[in-house]
Amino acid sequence: MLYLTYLALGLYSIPLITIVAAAITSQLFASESQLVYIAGKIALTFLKNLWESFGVLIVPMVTAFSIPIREADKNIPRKTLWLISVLAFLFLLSIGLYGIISSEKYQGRVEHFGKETLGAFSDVTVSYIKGFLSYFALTLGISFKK
Amino acid sequence: MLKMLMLFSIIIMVQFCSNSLLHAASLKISCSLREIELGRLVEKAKLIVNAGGEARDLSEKSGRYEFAGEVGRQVDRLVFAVDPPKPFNTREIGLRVNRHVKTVNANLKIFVLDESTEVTHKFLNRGSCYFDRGEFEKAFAHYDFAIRKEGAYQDIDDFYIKLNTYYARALHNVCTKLSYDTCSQAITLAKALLELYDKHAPKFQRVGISRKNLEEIAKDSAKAENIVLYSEMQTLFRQGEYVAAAELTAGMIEDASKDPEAFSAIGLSPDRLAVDAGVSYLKASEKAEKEESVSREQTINYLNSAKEFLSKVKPDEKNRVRENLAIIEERLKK
Repeated sequence: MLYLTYLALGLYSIPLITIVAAAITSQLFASESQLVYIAGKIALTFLKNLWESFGVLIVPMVTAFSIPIREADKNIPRKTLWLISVLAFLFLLSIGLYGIISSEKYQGRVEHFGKETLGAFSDVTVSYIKGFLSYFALTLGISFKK
Repeated sequence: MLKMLMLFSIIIMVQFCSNSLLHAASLKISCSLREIELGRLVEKAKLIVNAGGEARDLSEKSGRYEFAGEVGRQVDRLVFAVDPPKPFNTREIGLRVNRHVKTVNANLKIFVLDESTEVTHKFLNRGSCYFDRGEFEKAFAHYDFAIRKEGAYQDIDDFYIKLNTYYARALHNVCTKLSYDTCSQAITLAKALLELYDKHAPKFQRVGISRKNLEEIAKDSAKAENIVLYSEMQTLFRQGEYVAAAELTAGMIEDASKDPEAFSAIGLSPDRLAVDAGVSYLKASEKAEKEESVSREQTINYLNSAKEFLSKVKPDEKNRVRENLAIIEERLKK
């Protein structure tokens, strides 16, 4: 089950990973890399068609590995800790990427790949920030249940 | 008293008319204005041509604009201001023309772009095909639009390197092939890019631009610019404006000392320029003496300048330097 959760998270993060790869291969969008266009198209398709479906898929999986009970002396299961760490990392990655994309210098560079690409990158990173924060809260929040 | 006044005004009018006729130029201009992508004619645009400080409106007939008429003075440059209806961009085109011809004929194809066109990497790449097809005005319109929208330099990345290099190439092409007055702009931009290339060579190489490409743009544009300057000097000489001709040649000698190749490429050696400058000063002194228009001191200055230029030249049978120096010495002794 844990494997499936990470697989789902991996698939869910494909646009984010492609944007990161595009940023690296294009030297922070300074050179014209085809991967930037590909990342733009993937992000756009994801946002338009797959975002909500993935949400539906991921919520129960994340819930399954959330902190089960709130007791001070009880250790948080290792699997849950890993999941929280991964979600926190993806959340930070999205925030970092959004920071880069929305800064004046890099925004200008991404805009040279087309306004559509800039819009897709910007929207998808914001959605990831919100999404990962929700899953992070969900994983933690279950522990508050009696 | 009244008769005298009338006579005086008639004299002034006759003088004015004769001056106008002497310097008047006849213009015959025909332009077509098209959108760059689809090539459709653009109607209802306002086209103004400025010839020697006089602006004239071009009349329109279904996307074709014309002007035939006279302007009060000789022209060596025509500036077209193109103001098409929305959504197209405005253009300004400067054209070099031969001031010696009685009728200046200009037949232009001007291209405009939709103002809302996005300037992206793809846009820049798309424009390079115009170079391959020899569509130089299209290439110029394309990159002129881009540079006006994006600004010259904001970042040393692929985009700005491509934008500025392609723009320099477009300026160079329209200067050498279509007689646009963009040579000096092309030289300045190519030199700035060469400086940038020396600092960021890998970034230029990454987008396939070599130092040689930029050097060629600078050299060819300089060549075209120097041809224009030299013919301007010859014109001044023929018109008897010897001092202006000499000063222009002196400027060219200074440029030639910095970039001798740009002059040798059009067959102008430093010696040849020095002979031209020297002879121009010599003729200026002769004219001054004949017309008694300047002081003896000024005439001596002209003769000394002529001597200075001619003494730098190695005498041979063709350049008549020896003879001219002898004339100068003789006239200085008077």
